Amino acid sequence: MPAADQEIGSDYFAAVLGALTPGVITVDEGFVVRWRNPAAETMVPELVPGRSVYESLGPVAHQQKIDRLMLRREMVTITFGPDRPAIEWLNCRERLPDGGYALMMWPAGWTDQLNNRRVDFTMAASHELRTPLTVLLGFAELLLIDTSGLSPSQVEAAGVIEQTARHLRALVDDIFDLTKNSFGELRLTVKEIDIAALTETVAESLRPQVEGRGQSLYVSVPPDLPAVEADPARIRQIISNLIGNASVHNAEGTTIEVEIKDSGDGVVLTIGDDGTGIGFDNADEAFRSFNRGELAIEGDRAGSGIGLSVAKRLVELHRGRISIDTAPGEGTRVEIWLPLDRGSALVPGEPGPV
Amino acid sequence: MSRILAVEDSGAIRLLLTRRLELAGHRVRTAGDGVQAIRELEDSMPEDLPELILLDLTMPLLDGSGALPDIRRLAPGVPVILVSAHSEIDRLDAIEDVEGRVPKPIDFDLLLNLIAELTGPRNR
Repeated sequence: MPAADQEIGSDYFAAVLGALTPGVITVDEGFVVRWRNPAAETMVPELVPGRSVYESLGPVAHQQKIDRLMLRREMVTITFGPDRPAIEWLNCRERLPDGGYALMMWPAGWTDQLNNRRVDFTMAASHELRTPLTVLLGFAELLLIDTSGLSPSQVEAAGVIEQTARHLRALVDDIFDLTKNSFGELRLTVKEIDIAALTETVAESLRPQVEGRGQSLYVSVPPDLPAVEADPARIRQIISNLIGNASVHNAEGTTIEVEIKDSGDGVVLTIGDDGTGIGFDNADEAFRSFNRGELAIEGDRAGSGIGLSVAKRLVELHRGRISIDTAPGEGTRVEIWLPLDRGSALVPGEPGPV
Repeated sequence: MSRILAVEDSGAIRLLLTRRLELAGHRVRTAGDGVQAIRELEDSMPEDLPELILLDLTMPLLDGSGALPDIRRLAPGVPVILVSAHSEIDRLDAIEDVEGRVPKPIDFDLLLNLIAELTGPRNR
């Protein structure tokens, strides 16, 4: 028998691409279609090799939407008419050798089935974990309420169990939110909130934890901030995640500063620290789940790396923006902008990137 | 301090609730599901009715929301706190007719404060 790689030639790849359920097209640098598989031909006959994507989709999609797909590489849904299924499009991130791009498409909702199964499983798992976690954390706390009958090493053991159970709880919460949120199930309960008061409350609730680590926490909130339309529970979660990150990932003596400013069209919330900073190659990387940058090697620091990712998704759900400025040795600043007029920023029903 | 009925299907959490609440000076009885909770209330002398009820949402036989109407009938005016997993928070919000909600894992500071508030002199 010949070696497997001898049998795999371009015919083989053409057959594989021909057998795929999703449509695949490739375009060159100028967004002119080079090649399409049979599924793409069936789904969108308008896309003909030699014609540009803008020209082919122009009659059915706004240029802005095509820009979002082609330039910003966001997932978009395009409808070609009442009697044809809406098509979801994804621009693959890697560029092709000729500088072009590969695009994938499928009937809207096709991926939901796959996602739903994953979501159901993760939700069920995180739910089931809560009962044993309640017991573990509860009894560890109980041991620590009255330690008079315990030896120092038993007290220490109970303390470690308690800390670990707390960490596990934060992890389960984050996994739950991330799963729920990734697939648009998470809905905001939006009302006008006093973001200054909310921020102060959250910061104060974390103060004992922060100061317990020998760190300082400063909160600076100007009077007369405008009311913001937001989900108070989610904003609380964002702030708590970020202050928690700043505290947990840094050593004793670190100063954490929380600040809010009026930006005219919204409010800017900054959570900064003068700690060790994080060595991310780029900002996108910082917001990827389970990514802790260089901290990943420091096993004694708690934190899963999903806090930032959750915060980003929650901020984006509010039609806000989040950015991070950090480098090893230079501390970390996370800046969040929340719009005053959420209505104009609201675009309903647009799926996020998969 | 108060007489409390804790309705919860996990034996370990029943034990935890009993120990923690007793430590805070409360008297705790438990039931493992909605049916047991209703039986417990039916068998109680009026002067022995709980002053507060902790109710789990997901339980075999009869769950928290299913048992709530009977609990209200048998223990009128007794405050009920739903205690359930965070993932059910949407369902927790959907059940309007309770005096409090505490997510699992239970924050006992929060729970004990809520109990004190709901059984305090103002609410008698």
